[in-house]
Amino acid sequence: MKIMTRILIILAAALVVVGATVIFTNSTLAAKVMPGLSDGHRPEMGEFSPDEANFSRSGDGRPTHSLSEDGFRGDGRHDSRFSLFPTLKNLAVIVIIILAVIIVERLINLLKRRTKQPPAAPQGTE
Amino acid sequence: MKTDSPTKKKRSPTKINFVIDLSIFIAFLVAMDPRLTGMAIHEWLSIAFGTAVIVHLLLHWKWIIATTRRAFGKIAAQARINYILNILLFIAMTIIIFTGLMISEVALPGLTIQLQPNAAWRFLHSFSADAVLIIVGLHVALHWKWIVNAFRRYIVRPVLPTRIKMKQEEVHA
Repeated sequence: MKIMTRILIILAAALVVVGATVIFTNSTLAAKVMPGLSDGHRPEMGEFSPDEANFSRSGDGRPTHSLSEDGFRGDGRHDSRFSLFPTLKNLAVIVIIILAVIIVERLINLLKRRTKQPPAAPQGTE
Repeated sequence: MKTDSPTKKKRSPTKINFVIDLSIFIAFLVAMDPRLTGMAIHEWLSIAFGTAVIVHLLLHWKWIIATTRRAFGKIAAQARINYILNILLFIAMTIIIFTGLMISEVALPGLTIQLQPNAAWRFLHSFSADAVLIIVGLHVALHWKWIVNAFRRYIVRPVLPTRIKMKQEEVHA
């Protein structure tokens, strides 16, 4: 029962975030943050503005998509070829952030230790 | 009278946390890029990832409650940063999973649920994915000492003695 209550609390918090996201995407602020995406015009995935390059288009002006062998759309949303590189890149980003934080943390500790050191007792005062 | 009741070995909560957190991290890296797994695994793994995040939060429930109570009072700077970072991570994770469902091409259509995907959801999905990557990096960095200690305790120590033993046996043979 206790776990169920906690799960419901987590889901309720998630629902608040989802609600805020939906409100945000329908707001005028979203139009400023995501120009061209939220100003009343919501293009379908893969839809491009007319001034964008040479895509083959169907009669109604929408770009036509051909399915690749494995069923993925060739609209640039995702490259269907297997690649380990993006995952390694993500891992590298995380490693760089960890190293940066550890270095900053150590520098702060070093500075704290230096500033906390008591001043040397004056000599010859006895 | 002697009772031969089997003594239950209590599992260390730190070990459970470490195993789950390590699994979540690996799943996160795998699910981050559909090019590694293909779209179907990317979507289903991300949905499962949401459940894993709930388990992670349940395991750290006491910390969440205690820190929430202290958050507006006197609290160490690192704990406050950690708390804010965790809130941001929860928000970004929720957005990434929700927008992922909204632009789902395999998982939801597979359950005969058809949604109208649009570029706004896709933009938010990509944006929150980038944000989550940075926040996860900071989250791991802030818990680095705990991770290193747990790694030594549950992976290095149990593995090393057996390897040394094996080498000694090879020498004796």
